[in-house]
Amino acid sequence: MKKRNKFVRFGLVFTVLMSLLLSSCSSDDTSRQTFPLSADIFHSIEGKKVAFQGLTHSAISWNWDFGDGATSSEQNPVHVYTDGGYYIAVLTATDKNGNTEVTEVKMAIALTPYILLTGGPTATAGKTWKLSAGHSGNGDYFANADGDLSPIDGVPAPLPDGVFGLLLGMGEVYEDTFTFHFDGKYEHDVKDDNASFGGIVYQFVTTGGAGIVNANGQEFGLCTGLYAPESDATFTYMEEEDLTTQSVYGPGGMLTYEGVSTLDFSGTEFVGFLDFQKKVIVQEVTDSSMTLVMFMAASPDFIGYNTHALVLSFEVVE
Amino acid sequence: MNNNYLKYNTRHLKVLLVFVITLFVNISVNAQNGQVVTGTVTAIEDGSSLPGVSILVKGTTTGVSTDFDGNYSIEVPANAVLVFSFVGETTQEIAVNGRSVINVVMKASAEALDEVVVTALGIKREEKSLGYAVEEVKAEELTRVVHENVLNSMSGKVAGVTINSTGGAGSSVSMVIRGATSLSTDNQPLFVVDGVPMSNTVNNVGGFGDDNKVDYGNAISDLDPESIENVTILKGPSAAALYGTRAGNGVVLITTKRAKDGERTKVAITSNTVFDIPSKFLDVQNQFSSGFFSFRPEDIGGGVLPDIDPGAGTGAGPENDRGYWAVQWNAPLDANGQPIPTEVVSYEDNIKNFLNPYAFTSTNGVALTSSSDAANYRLGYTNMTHSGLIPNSDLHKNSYALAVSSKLWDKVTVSTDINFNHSWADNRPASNRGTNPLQWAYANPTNIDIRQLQDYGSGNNILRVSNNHENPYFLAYDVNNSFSRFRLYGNLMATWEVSDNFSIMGRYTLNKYDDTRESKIAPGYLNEPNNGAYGIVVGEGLERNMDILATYKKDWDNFNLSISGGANAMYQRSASISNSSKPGSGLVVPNLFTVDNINSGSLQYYNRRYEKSINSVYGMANFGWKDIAYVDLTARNDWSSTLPAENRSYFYPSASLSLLVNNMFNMGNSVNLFKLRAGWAQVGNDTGPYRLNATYGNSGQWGDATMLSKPGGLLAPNLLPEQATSLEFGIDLKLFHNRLRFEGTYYTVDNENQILGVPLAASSGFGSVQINAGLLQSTGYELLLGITPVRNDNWNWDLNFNFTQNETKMIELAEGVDFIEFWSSAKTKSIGFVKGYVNNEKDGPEDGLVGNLYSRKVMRVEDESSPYFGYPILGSGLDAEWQGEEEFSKVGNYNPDFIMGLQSALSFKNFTLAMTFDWRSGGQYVSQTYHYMTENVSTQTWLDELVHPGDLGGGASQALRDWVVENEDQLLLGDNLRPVGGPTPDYGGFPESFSGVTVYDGTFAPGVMGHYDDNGKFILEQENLGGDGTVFLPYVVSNPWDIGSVKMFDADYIKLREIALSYKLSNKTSEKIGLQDVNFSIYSRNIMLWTKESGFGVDPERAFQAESSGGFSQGVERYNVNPWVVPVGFKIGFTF
Repeated sequence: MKKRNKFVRFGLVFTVLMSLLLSSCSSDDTSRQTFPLSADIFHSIEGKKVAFQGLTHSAISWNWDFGDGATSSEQNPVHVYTDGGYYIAVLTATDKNGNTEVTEVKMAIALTPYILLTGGPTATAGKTWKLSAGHSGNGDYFANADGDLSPIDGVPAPLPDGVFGLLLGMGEVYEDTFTFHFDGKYEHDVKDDNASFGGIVYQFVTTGGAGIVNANGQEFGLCTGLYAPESDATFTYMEEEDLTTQSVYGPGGMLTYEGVSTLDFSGTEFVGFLDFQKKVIVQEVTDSSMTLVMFMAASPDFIGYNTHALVLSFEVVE
Repeated sequence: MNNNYLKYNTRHLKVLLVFVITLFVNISVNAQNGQVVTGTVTAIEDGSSLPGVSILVKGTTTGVSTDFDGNYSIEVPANAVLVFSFVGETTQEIAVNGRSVINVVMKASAEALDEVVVTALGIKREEKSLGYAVEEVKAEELTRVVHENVLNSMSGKVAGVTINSTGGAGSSVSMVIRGATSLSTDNQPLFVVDGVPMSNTVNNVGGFGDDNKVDYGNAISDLDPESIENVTILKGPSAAALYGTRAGNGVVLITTKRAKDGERTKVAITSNTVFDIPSKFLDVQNQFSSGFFSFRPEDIGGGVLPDIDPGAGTGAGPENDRGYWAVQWNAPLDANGQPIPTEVVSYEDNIKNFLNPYAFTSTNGVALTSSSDAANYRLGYTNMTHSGLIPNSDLHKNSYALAVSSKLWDKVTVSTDINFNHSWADNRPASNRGTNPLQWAYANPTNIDIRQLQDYGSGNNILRVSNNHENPYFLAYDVNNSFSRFRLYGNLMATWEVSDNFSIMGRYTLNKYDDTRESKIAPGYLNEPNNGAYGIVVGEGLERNMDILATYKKDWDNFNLSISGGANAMYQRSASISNSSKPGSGLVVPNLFTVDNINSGSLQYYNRRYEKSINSVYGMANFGWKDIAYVDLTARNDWSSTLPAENRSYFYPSASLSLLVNNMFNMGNSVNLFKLRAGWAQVGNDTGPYRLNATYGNSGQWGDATMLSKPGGLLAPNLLPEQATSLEFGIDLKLFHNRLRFEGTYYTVDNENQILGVPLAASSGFGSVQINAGLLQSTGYELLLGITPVRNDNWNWDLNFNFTQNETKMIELAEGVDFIEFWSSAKTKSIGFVKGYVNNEKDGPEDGLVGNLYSRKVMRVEDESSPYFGYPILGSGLDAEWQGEEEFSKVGNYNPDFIMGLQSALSFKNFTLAMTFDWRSGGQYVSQTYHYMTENVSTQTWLDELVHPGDLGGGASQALRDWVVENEDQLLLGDNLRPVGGPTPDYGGFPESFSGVTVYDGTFAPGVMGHYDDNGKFILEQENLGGDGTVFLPYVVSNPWDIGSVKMFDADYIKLREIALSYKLSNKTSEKIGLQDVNFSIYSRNIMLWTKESGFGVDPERAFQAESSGGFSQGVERYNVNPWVVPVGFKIGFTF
C-alpha cells in the first residue's frame, strides 16, 4: 500500500512538472510599448460623407471640430457635410493627466474633379503635381495597352516604391512638375536635366536617339529625353468621353475606352510621360493624389501603336 | 549564447533536481542484527589490497565496501552468503558459516580481458586477437536516449565516424567512416543486420509538384533501436575485406537481441516519451516592417506613413514599435470602405506561433523472451509515433521482430530472425525552397501577425500577404506528402557442428520492401496554379543472399588455427512505377487526387527496373601462437553482373597481425593489455548496373509517337570497380585493472580507379565519358582514451574520449582533367583540384584536399604604390557595391579538422548520469538561407554589424572620409564587408532621396572606383570613402550579394548529444512489486552547447543538402532551418 502511494506521488510530480514545462514555453506576445500623447488624423471622403480616424497614443478622450459647426467626442467619428467646399477638421486629444494634443486636416468635400485638379478659382498659382514614388500604396503598375489594362506578366504589381530611382537609375523622373490652372493654363517644369520621362522608341523615332538623356530604363522601354516645355500651353479636361487610341490590341489597331475622364494638351505638351500619345486617362483624382494612365508605344515594329500603359500616381507639390 | 537556451537549461536542471529528490524517497536501508565479519580483499595478480570492492549480503540490499586498504567490516546473520564484486573482477559468493574473518582474493574476470566482439560475417572473435580496429556500441548506449533514427545514437560515440542529418525527426542521416573516399558514391557504409545486408543512401528526396522537395529519410531508419543487442563498426578495409566489393566505405554490423539458453520466460516493457521544445529560431530582424524605405513621420511632414507594402519581400520598411501609423496588409475598413491605418508593430513570435509548441515522440515496446529445451525465442513489438514541430507533420513506425533458435539434434542448430516493419506518415513537410512551410513562415513580414493567415480559405482564393507570398499554413495543411513503407527482412540459418573441430553454416537472408509515396497539393500554391498537383510512385525491391560457411578449428599447445571457407550468392532487384502531373500542369478538377484526374498532356509517367547480382567465394585463416601473436588472412573473389564478362572477376585480399606485448614480456601487474597491430587490405567500391552500354532515353510523346533521346554522356564498356588499398597500424593499452584504456590507429587509404565523367569535345557527339581514373589518398588518426577515475562501492565514473582526424587528398584525376566541381551555391563552389595544380596564381599550388570551398574574393587595389592599396574596388554609379574578383580562390573547407567525442557515465548507487559530448573543430559551411535573407535585409546579424559613423553621419564630409581612412583596418582592409550607415538615424543612416522623399536610411560601401593603366598603375576615378561624391544607397540594397565569403561561416560546435539520468530500482524493491529491472530515466539530446559562428541560428551540422537532382551537397544548407530544440524525454522500463 505504501509503495503504491510512492508511485502515485511520482506520477503526480511527473505530471505537474510536465505541464509546467510545456505551459511556460508557450508565452503570449510581449506586451506592447506605450507612447506619450500624440494625435494624427486619417480620413476618407465619399461624396459628402467623411470617415475620420483619430490615430492617437495615450489619449483617453477625443474632441472633433468638423469645421462646419458640428463636433463629436468619438475617437473615429463619421460626419456628413451639408455643403461641399474646403473644410478644416480639428482633433483635440486628451490624456489621463489632462494634457492635450491638437491636430487638424484640410479636406476638399464634394468638389468636382476639375477643382481637385486645379485647386479651384481661388488658387492663384494653380495646383502643381509630380510623379509619386510611393507606388505600392497607390497600386501603380505597368499595364498592357489592352482593353482591361491588364498587368504585364513578370513585372511586380504594384510597383515597388521608388522603383524608377532605385532599380532603374532614373530617379530624376520624380522631380518634374505639372501645374494645372483653373483657367485652363498649363505649366510644365522639366527641372535641371531639361528632360522628361518618356518612351525610348519614341525618342529613337523622333530624334534618332539624339534626345535621349538617361537610358538606364531601356530594358523596360523607358528613358528620359530632352524636352522644352511650351509657354502659354493649355490643357483640356473631359469628365466623360470615349477615348479611341491606336493599340496593338484593338481590332484594326484601334481600341476605344468608353466613358473615361481624359486630359489633353495644346501643342507638344503632355503630362508625366513623353510618348506618341499625349492624351491620358484620369483614373482617379482626389485633393492630394491622382492616378493617370499614360500610354506607351514601345514596339519598333508598330510605330505609334500603343503596346503598354503606365498606370502611375501623382502627388501634390505643396 | 542564446538567453532562451540558458532559461531552458536551468528549468531542465530544476526538473532533474526534483526528480532526484522524489526518487530518494524510495531508497530504504535495512540493517539486520547478527554477527560481525571482517577481512581484507586483495588482487591475485600482485597481492595488493583492493579498495572499493562491493560486499553484499546475498538476497538483501545490505552491503558495505572495502576501505582504502581493502579492509571491510559488516554485520550479518550467521548463515549469510556474502557477494564480493568489483568491476573487471570475477564476482565471488562466499558463505559465512559462522566465521568472523574472511579474507578474499579477487581474480580479474576473463570477460573483462578477453572481450569478444562480432567481426565480419558475424564471427565472434576475441578482441585481443584482431589486427585491426573495430568499435562496438552496446544496446544500452543506443537506447539510453531514444532517437528516431538509430544512426543518430552513434554521434559522438565512435572514433572515425561522422554523422550528419539534414533536419528533424525523419530526415536523412548520413554516416561516413574514415572520411569520403569515393567521388562517385555517397560514401555510406554497408549495414549488415543479423547477416542481412542493407544499403543506406543519403539522398532520399522525392515529392511531386513544382519545387515540392521532400526528404523521406533513409532506409536504415526502419531499424528498431530497442531490438538491437549491439553494433560493431568495421572501420577499415582490413576489418571489412571479407565483404568484398560492398565494403569500400566500411561495414556496420548489427546484432539483434535474442533469448539465451536457460533464460526464463519474461516480458520486458519500455516506454519512452520525448518533447522537443524549440529553443532557438533564426535570428531574423523584427525591428523593420516590410518595404524598401524606412520612412519616419518627420521625413514625410508628419502624420500617417505611406502604405506598407507587404509584398516588398524586404525588411527595410518603416520601423516597428515606434507608434507609427500606416495602412498595412489586411487593414480594417472605415465607413467609406477605405483601409484604415493601424499602428506599425512587430510580431517577433511569428515563427514560434506558427509552429507547434513542441514536437512529440512516443516509443513503446514490449518484448517476450523465453527459452526451453526445444527452442529459444524472442518476440518484440515497438511502436513509434511522432508529431513534428511543423503543424500537420507526423511519422509512425511499427516494428515486429521474431528471433528463434532451436537445437534440432545435438549437433544441429536452426535459427531465424524475422523483422517486419511498417513506417508511414500522412505528411512529411517539404524542405529546401518551394513548398517548405518554414521558408514562408520566415518570409512573413515582421509587421503582420502570422496567425492572421491561419484561416486561409480554399480554392484559388488562398489568403496570402501578397501575390509574391505563399501562405505557410496552407503549405503545412494542404500540401501533403505521405509515404507508407513495409519492410520484411530476416534470415534462416542452420549450423551443423560436424565435430568439435569442424562446423558448417548455411544461411538464407532476404530484405524486401514495398514503398508508396504520394504528393497531394490543393489549389493555392503559386507554382501549381492549375488546381494543384498530384503524384504517386510505387516501388518494391529485394535483396537475397545465400551463404555457406565452413570452419575448421584446432588447438595445439602453443598454436591454434581456424580456417574458414565460404561462398555467397547475392541478388538484388527493384522496380518502381510513377504517375504524376507535370510540374505546373495541374489537375482537371481540384482536390481529386487520382491519376485519372490528370489531363493526358499533363501526365508524367515512367517505370524503372534494376537488377544486379554478385557471386563470391571467400576464405579466412587465423593463426594464434601462445596468446602472443595472431595472424589473420582473408581473401575474397567477386563476380559481378555489372561488369563485362571477361573482367568481372575481382580479388580482394587482406592480412593483419596482432602482437600481445604484455604476454611476451613481463610488464608487471598494472599492464592488463599491451597490443600492437597492423593490417593491410584491398577492397572495392562497386559500380552500378547499366553503366556499360548506352541506351536510348524516353523523351515523352509527340502526338502518338514516343520520342527517344541519346544520352549526352558516353559509357565505358570496360569499367572497373573503384579499388581501395589500406594500411593501418594501431596500439591498444589497458592498464591498472582496465581503469586506463587507450587505443590508437593510424591509417592510409589509397582509392584508385575513381569512376569519373571526363568532358569530351562536343564534336564527338557526347559531352562526357565515364572512365576509371584518379587516385584519392586518405590519411587519418583515431584515438580512444578511457579512464575510470573513480570506482568504489557507491561511485563509478567512466570517461571515454574519442578523437578523429581524417584528410582526403586528390592526388590524380584523368589526363587533362584537373578538377571536379561538386556543387555551386550561394556564390561559393565546392571544387576538388588535383594536388599541385595551380588554379589561381595568388593561391599557388592547390593542396588537393577534398571539401575545399572556393569563392570570388573582394576585388581590391593590387597596385602597391597606390595610396589605396588593398581598398575594395567598387562598381560605379548605382552599383557602388563590392565586386568579386574574376578568379575563384580557396576560402575554406567543409570538413572538420578533427572531431572529438566524450562519453561520461557517472553512477552513484542506483543512479547513473550519462552524457555524450561531440565537438567538431574546424571547417566551414555556406548558408544559402543567410544568403537569401540577408539580401532581403531580414537578418538581425546584418543589422547588428552595420557600421555606425557616430557624429559624422548626416552626409558626405571630409571628416567622415578621414574617419573611414583612419579605421581602414576594419572598414577597408578587413575581411568583414560591412556598409557604413543604416536604416534610420539611430544607425547613422545617411539621407537619400530615391523615393522622392528624403529618408535617412542611406549606407555606403567604403572603397574606391577606378581602373588600372597599361603599366598596372591604379588610376582613381572616385573615392567612395564618405567624402564628396560618395554614393549613398538605401539600406535595402546594402548586402554584397556577389561575395561568397559573406555567407560562409565557421562550422565549429560542441553538442551535448545525450544526457540521461537513470535510476534503477533495487532488486529487492522491484521484487516486492513483482517486477525486475525497473528503471526510470529522464534525458535530453542534441543540445547545442557552443558554436563558433552560428549567431544566425543555422545548425552547422545541417549544412548538408540533399538535392532533388539526386546528388547531395556537403557544406551548404538551404532552408534546413528547423529551430534548435531542447528535448525533454522520459523513459520507463521494467521486466516481469
